[in-house]
Amino acid sequence: MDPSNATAESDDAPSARVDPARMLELFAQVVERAAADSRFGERLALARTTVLMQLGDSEELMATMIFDRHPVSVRPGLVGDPEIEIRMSPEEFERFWSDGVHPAMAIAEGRITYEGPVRKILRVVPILRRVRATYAELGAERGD
Amino acid sequence: MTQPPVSAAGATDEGTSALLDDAAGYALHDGAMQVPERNPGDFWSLECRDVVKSFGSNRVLNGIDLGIPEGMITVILGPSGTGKSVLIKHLIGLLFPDRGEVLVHGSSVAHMTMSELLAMRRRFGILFQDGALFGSINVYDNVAFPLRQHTDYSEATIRDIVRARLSEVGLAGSERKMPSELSGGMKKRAGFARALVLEPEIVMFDEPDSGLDPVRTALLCELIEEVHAEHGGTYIVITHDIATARKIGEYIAVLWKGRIVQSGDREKMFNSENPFVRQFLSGASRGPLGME
Repeated sequence: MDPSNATAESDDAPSARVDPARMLELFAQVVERAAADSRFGERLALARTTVLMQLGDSEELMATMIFDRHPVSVRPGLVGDPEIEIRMSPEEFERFWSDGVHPAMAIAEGRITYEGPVRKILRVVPILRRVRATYAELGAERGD
Repeated sequence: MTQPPVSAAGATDEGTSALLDDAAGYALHDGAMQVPERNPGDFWSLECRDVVKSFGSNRVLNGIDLGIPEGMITVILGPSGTGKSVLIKHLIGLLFPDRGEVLVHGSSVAHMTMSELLAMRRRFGILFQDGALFGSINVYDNVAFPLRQHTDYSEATIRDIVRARLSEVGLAGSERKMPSELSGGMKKRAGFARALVLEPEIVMFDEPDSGLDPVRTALLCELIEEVHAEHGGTYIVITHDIATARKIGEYIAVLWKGRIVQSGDREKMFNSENPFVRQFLSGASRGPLGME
């Protein structure tokens, strides 16, 4: 993966509306809730993979999606040896998480770069979007 | 792609030929997503690479290049007689190409052993046009059938799964009905429930709107979207119905005369400059698509 590609578009894109660190924190909280929800928990684990997600170039904006077991979780920073790495701008993450833009399209257009079998995590993107919609009140409670 | 001349329907041989000749010069069709993969299947759920299939002198698939992205609802849209059904059979390994290859999660279907092929097919759930229910057994047993065939689940587990899936498609309470007692829409929903019981990674719908009125088609589309949001995975809908494509197609590929003319996300396709795609998606009578 060429890291320079990851943020190439962010110069032209509008700034993220929400602080990226808070977005990652919220993402982890929502996934934690979903993992305990019988509608979503086991199905999210069908991704059967682990993903290092990095927003922009800052190592502080990294999280590891541990989706190879039930319950799934998102932990801050690099955990273990993730099978997949994906890199995107904070704005791109917001487009996915808040606006529901499908990351496959962003990958095709080069706005998200990846290494490894990214297909595995794309499999559960529809569920993550549903999870986000279900737990939208979490963001609202926090004033996000 | 150079634009071919647009002519009146029925007088389009020249325009049609120009479009196809023009397309033939391209390894990839107009608008095809090109995502580099270090290993096949890193990104694509399914991929057709220059797939050609003939029956006698009739070339049905004429060099299909198509990637189907993971985690989306892809609609393969095309007029009648363009090779949609033949394409489906290639995707699930019921037919094999004369040339080119079909990859499922990066593995070439033509090179699979029989056991690999059977394992690959288990990743698919398929909803056939009429639901393809067994007429001699009730709805419950129809939906339980794949579980009894392919798993060693206890009857109690099977009951829980079957009831959950039937509830999901709005058929709770219809377990004991025979297929002959169901309406066309109910048959499709029962077929959908059966397609889901093995938690497939890829669900394919062959003309799900056939035989349904617009309201029931819309309801079925909502159901497909709803279930996709709950289960994830790759959904492929093969249809000629533009309303269906507009409603549920996150990614759309237009098939014509055995070739993908253009593919892209919904917004791009419904704003296409390609004369054939524009005519087909707008339902216009004038354009390269005639009555032939």
